[in-house]
Amino acid sequence: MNLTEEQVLALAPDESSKKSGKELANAAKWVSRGTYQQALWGECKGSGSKPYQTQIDTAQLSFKCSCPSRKFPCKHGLGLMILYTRDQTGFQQEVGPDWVQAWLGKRAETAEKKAAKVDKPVDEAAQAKRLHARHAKVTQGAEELMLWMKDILRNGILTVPEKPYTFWENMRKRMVDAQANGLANMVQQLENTPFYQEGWQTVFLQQMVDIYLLLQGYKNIEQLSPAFQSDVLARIGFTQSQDELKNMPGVEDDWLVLAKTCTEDGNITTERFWLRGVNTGQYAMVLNFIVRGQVNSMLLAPGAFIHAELVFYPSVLPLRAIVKSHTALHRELPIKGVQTWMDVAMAQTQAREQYPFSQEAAFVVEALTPLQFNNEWWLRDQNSNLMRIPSYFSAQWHLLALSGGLPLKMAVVGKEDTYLPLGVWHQDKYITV
Amino acid sequence: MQHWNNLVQTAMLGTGKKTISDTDVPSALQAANTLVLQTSSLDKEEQFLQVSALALNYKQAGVQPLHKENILVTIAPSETLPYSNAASSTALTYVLHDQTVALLRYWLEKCKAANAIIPLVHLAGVLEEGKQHKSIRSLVRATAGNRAKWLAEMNTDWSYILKEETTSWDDASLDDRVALIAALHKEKPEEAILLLQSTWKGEDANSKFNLLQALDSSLHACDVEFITAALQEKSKKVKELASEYLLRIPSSPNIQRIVSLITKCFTLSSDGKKINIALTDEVIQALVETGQKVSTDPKDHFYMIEALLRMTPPVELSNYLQVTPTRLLELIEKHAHSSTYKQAIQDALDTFYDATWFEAVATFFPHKFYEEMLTIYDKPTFDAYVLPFLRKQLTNDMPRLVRFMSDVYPYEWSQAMGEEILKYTSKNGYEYNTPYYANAIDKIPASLVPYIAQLEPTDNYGGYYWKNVAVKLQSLLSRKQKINEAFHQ
Repeated sequence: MNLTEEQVLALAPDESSKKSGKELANAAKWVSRGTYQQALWGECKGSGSKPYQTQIDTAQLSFKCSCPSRKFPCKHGLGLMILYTRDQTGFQQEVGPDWVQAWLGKRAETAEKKAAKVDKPVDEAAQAKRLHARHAKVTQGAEELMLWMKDILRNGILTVPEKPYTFWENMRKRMVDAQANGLANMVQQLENTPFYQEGWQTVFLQQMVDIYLLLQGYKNIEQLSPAFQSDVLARIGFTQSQDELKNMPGVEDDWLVLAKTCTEDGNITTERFWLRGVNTGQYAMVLNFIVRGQVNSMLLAPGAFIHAELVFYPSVLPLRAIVKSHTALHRELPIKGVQTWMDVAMAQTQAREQYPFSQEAAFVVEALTPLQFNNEWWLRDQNSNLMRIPSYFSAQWHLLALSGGLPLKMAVVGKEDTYLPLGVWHQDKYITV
Repeated sequence: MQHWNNLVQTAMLGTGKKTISDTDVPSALQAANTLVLQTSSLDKEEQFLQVSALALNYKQAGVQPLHKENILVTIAPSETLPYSNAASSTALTYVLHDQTVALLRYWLEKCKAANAIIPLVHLAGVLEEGKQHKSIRSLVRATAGNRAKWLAEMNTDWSYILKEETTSWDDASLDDRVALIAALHKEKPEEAILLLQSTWKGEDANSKFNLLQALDSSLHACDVEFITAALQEKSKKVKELASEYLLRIPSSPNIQRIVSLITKCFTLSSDGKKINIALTDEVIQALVETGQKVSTDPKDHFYMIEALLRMTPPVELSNYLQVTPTRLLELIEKHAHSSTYKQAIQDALDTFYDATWFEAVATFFPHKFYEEMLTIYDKPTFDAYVLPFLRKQLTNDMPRLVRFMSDVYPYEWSQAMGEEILKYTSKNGYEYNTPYYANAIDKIPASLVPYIAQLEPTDNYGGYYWKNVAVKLQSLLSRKQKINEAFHQ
């Protein structure tokens, strides 16, 4: 395991776990601790009569602990990993005790069973009937949404910011009833337009156009390519079975985890991991939804290299993926980026040719210089071309400190003329910002 | 793109009121645009959406970066000092994570001693800490390097890097002025008094009291005139503090008056082997004139002498009698009331310690701890001197000893010292909490970690409290250990 303490802390489910984990990264708290091959284990003194048994599969970043916490990883798992990153000398190098062996054995057994698992026969007729019924519902919902949008346009969007909450909420709920959750989210985004900001009209109209394109795409789905059909259905809200995806062939490569961004909506935290393939040059975005109180099954450390097989969702522009299998790599690998912003703009234009919906994309650009211009922060390439850094980016001075006025190789994500820095190569090592 | 702006205008007013503009349409879109607008099967709203979809895709697909040739970006000057090593950089990562200023100060001190500068990955983080905490700014200035100066030219929040900050006396807050006076008075007492006098008349009573308190730890002969004038203030608090100060300055008229009386009570025999101590008529008369009641029974007079002796700088007496302090105490030991007078001199030494008395103190008052010995003894001797006091764990002495060892003692404690101090502080969790240990972290040796695990205060609540504090202290010490190791590589 070659994670840094920062990377381990990035795995914590919340701030309090980080704090508790750091407190438990104390040799005095551990009755025993050891490591062997990919396993890391320890017994931690707790409030119970027996110490908690904590075990970690460092290759898969899987945790198990006998404590009653529902958080994942729990503070003991974090504490043990932090302690290991700080000081490996106290960890015995030997085959672990029975409880560690049993857990590792069980994990191997489960993995084998999964691999050998034969799918149950599916009642295709019933499945087709259910799908047909759903399409009927969605079609009806889509027609209502179209009518609602036309009403807005006929009357003008000038008074839209004054619309009551129910105006949006009723249509959003209607889309949920029509089993079109994707459309419901798009209505929600219309409501979330930053009406207090200058230029909200463009943002609102863009979103209206995106919805219209999707509705038209759905209406004429038979005329689209299979990949585009998948895109339209996914955006409408038809989910793709992860088991089906896992049975599909994936892209095997060494991947750099460029960054993890998190957003919270109610009880759901959405983690968005951006990855870049070392050999394929492909970018991937892995989404992970965590409902409060549930176990987080996706643990990728930003800045780390992994060897993984990713399966991409069917799309004309494959980006979203699931991780079929992965193991940690213990070395830095070379990543080649594009040279200029014009390369980025060209790639984005080509993407728009195939995929008319607005979507963020990640890039590695070989040499970008952060600078201030007209009270805004920008990234300048070697041809004096500039793209804007979004105003919510808070590490601009950190970026400037690393740069010193000279260009940096940088990973960014964004669209149109605005790109968010994710990380830079500093002294030949990738660090997230 | 004007075409898009026209469409936004139409959307604002509504397709019911404004027709869809077909002017300013880019030539590439012209044909498709016309086709949409001529399709009569589409209503106006759908025509608008289709035209907008075309325009949006055209606009977004054609986004180009902004080209600007002449934006001047200066290049940061190269560094003259090396960056601190990789291990110290890792240690700093954790220090910044923990947000413990005392540990950061410790790291910066080590970095400065190693003649190195902060690694770039942490520079912005440390500069931000310096912005928050004035106390580490001079260390940040010393270790931030040229890159920080380059950044500070652009970021006013970090301008403290560029020059030593000087607080203007007139504009500074009361807290800042108190700190300034306390520091200046230690180094240049005359200047501090002049500064105080410059605005004294305009200060309110509370400010006067606080500013006067700033002189407490460094009272000096040159303060007498100013403090004597403060006796005329209206504020009772100020007057009481001024009176108390005058009784602590050997050259003040109050003390000199006492000295003039006490010296009349002490006479040496002609062979110098005996000391005679008695109230003379002249002294009795002087005491009566000041309103003191003096017993007519000579047996009670030694109480009066004891009271005077307690307020007399012992060095004045030894000088007056022209004997060494040790000789003076030897002579007093032969006197009938020797224990009373010796105790009075010991108490007077608390206020009027004089370096010339240190041998006498060590011989005659071995059970009393004097902080001033730190300036007289070398480190091993002082450590050997203080350790027995710590081992006694006397409830009355320990708070003062712990304060001294944490705030004044300039070195890291030895293992034995640390064990004794923690034995006491662990039992007094309310006073010695996590911030206390964080602030004293440079004094606490990292080798105490195993000892901390053994400490178990007896009462339940204290035990629970200490457990929490101990975990944090161990964590701090493990960080400190990493810093030490990193800078010794």
